[in-house]
Amino acid sequence: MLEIEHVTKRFGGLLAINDLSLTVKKNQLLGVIGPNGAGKTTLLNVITGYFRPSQGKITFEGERIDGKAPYEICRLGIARTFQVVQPFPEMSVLDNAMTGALFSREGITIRKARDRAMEALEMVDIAHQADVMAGALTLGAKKKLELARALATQPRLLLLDEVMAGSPQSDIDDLMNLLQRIHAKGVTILMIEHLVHVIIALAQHVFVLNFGQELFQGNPGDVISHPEVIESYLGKPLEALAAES
Amino acid sequence: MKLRIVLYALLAIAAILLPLVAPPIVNNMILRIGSLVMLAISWNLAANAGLISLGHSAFWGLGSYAALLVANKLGWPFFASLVPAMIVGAVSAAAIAVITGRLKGIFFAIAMLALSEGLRVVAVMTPDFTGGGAGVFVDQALRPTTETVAMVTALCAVACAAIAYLISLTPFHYACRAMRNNESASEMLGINPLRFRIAVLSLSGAMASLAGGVNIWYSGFLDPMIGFDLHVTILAQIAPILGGIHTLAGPIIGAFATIGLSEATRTLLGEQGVSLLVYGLILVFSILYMPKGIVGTWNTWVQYRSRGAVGAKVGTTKAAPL
Repeated sequence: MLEIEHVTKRFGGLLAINDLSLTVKKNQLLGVIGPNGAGKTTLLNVITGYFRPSQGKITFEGERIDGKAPYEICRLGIARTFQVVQPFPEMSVLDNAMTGALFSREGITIRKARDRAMEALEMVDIAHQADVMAGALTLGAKKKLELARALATQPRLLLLDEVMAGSPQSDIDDLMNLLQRIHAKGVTILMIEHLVHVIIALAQHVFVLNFGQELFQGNPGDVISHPEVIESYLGKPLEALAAES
Repeated sequence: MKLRIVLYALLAIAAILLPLVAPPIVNNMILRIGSLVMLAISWNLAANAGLISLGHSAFWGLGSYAALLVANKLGWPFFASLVPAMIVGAVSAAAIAVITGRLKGIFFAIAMLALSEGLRVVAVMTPDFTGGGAGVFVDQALRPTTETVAMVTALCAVACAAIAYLISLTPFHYACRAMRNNESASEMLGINPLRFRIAVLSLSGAMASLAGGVNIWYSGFLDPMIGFDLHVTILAQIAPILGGIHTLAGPIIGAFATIGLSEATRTLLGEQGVSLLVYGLILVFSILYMPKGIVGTWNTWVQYRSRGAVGAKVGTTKAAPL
């Protein structure tokens, strides 16, 4: 569904993403993990058109999308959430979600957009706060709203940038449940997540990013036992260090 | 709701017909308030999309000169002259939208201020075309009666208010607010910021230019200091801010309040200096203590009252309908 081929993103002398290739299959739930600064968010920014890749090629359902603007990519059926939540604070929760529904497809009426937005709000369970100003929500509710707004665009591919981070355990369980339901509806998901146990529980396939390059990919069980992955997060075991020196 | 719309429509018709029976001093007020309503709505539309203009006199002046020039050079009458005024305003605003690209907030404001000042200098430097610093009179033979100009001003003001209302019912309104709140996030929802930026600024420019175009037929005289007067820029934002920024009723109420306040201090306090000082102080304190303007303060008060009746609920700041 989404093909990333030999993509490089350079910021001056810094190689944020280095010759990376990654494939997301239809109906897959793909998890991307990696230590801080590995290039995970940059990867999403490159896919969604906020950054133009320095080299390489990205195709979505056979259509080349690198170099397209974010609003064009949205209309092709890709939605994303932001790591730092970005709701429209001076608009109501419903209006936030309606904005998602109104512009992602041509010629949708306000009435229909409202229905679609309410559906999305109900799905993430904040419909009872539809009239509240988005700026007044708690962080957890803002994250749900961000998800609802992305869902209201009716995406076929959903890119999630750490939706769980900073949430209490009860919310994490809710969100995991929710993501499973969204996935069951036929939405392909690529999720970046720091909480490894969430990725292990949800993802069918895990991609490990380190210094902008692929470190390892495979099914969740293999990933957490892979020595290089452990090393990238925690460093080498003391015994190994001792042996080296 | 229906009753309310009928009531507003009747009020609008009354305002348009009032000049037929009103004495000249009332017509003068209608002209000033009507012009300011147009300017304030125009400014507020742009502000609603995050475009804070510090140079609305640019559009006002362009409209004034366009109307005056087609009248004096081509002999176009009052009504016909308003069309090129609007077109010049809309086209120049669209050009500004493209040129300023992604500038927002203070950066866009400064670009607008520079534009307005630049245009004033251009008007001074091209005396063969604009009459230069000495100014120029509108062809007396073409001038309509003051009543006619006042009626058209009221009509245009009502039209601007109606357009602003109709826009608030369309997706356009959602796009503008989303862009104001967070332009980069709005892009991920399928909004092409440039397209909406061009549309909203063109509309805003056309309205302000229309106000300028109508006005020269009342004053009968134009020079660069009048056309690109900083005072126009300031009034264009004081009115909506005083009335309630980002609301529908705000610019209208603000225009009445601003002119009313200025007239009240002038007639009550007489002396130039003192009255202006008091006028200024009242404006400063109003904005300081009512940052959401008259409409915002009213809404908060109504909510406070109604919430008091059912018991205070924390965290349910309802979205204002306007």
